[in-house]
Amino acid sequence: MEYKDYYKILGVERSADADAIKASYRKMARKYHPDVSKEKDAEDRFKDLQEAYEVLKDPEKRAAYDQLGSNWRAGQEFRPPPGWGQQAGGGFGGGGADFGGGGFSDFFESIFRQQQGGGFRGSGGGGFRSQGEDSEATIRVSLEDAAHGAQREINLEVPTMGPDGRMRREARRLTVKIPKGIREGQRLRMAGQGATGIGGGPNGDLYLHIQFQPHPRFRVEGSDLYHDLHITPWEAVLGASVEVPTLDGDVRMKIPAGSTSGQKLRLSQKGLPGSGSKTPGDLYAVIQIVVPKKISEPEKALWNQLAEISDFHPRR
Amino acid sequence: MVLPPITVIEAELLEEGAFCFDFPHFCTLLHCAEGEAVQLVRYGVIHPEGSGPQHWRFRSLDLYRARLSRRLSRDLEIDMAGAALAVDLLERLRAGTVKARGAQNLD
Repeated sequence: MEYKDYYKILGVERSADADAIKASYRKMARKYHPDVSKEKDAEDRFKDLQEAYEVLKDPEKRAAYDQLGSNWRAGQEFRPPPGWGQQAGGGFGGGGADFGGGGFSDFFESIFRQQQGGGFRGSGGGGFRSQGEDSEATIRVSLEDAAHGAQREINLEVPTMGPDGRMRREARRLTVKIPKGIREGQRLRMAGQGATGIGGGPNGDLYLHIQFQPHPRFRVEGSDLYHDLHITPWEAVLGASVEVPTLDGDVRMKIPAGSTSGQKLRLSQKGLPGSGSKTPGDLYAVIQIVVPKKISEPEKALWNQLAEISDFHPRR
Repeated sequence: MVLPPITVIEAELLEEGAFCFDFPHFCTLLHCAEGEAVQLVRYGVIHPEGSGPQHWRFRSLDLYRARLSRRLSRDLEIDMAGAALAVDLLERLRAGTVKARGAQNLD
């Protein structure tokens, strides 16, 4: 196992007093708390912080840790000194009530749990019972799935207590029902699918945060959809009947004569469906007049002819 | 290794969940004493429907907020008023992020 430099983790000197340790923990906990932080490795960093603080805030544990000496380096291969388990009073740990929920490292266990005689670990010992932590994950769903509802399989890693009493991450595959009409940013709660409870305590819940996958044809605003509708200059001038995609297939829509780029045409209730009894959103076709980049000689002649006879002067 | 799929029947939409838990049930789910739940209401962490504990009805969103508040209190060593503020700000931040993502898509 690897040696952990708790002072380095908390960013304090070995001579730091209790106030400095507390202040540094609070500052770093705010930065790395998984409910707050956007850092990629926040969960692991926060666990290390909790473990380091657990040791350094407690004078007995800190003294025991300091007995290991200051010559160790973070990450260095570590084994407890011979006879470690028999020394140092046996007062560490306090029987599990200080357990943070995520499980501490093997390094911590090797130093502070040897005195426990297994009393903390396992469901039978000590009567300690605690609810498992809630877990959170993000699930990306397509607009089609959000519109019609779907079942999707997701793979997660959930903290679970093993038969040896240690917390570890267990791969879990779940089939999730995506309710029809779900929106970006909404959350699904699945009772009892979070981290396993300790000592027979109930499991935590799993919260899934909904994120929409980018769609090649639509953008989303609330329950409304937006589609860039590309039309030709003559369709814009003369008006036309064109096909517009919706989540339920193509529909035909009339483009009024004299349409301009940026104009929005509304297809009522063709957006995302409302959940429950809510009214569906609308679909807006945003007109984009597209001009041909290459034209043939006959086309060029016709455009020239149009230029000559037209009295349209938009800059006047 | 192929894992056997587990079918999840119940998946509740947090934002639109009904006020389905009464006070004793909510306390049981939260594993807290009634006094703590009353404090959570007083500090504005959770917002039940109804007047007074006997008539209170809670949503799953309240359960989420209460547990988040507890984690923040425990891990950041802040009191309930601080946790209530943090929960509100985190929810606003989340809503703002969702809105910003939508606006980005519209650019």
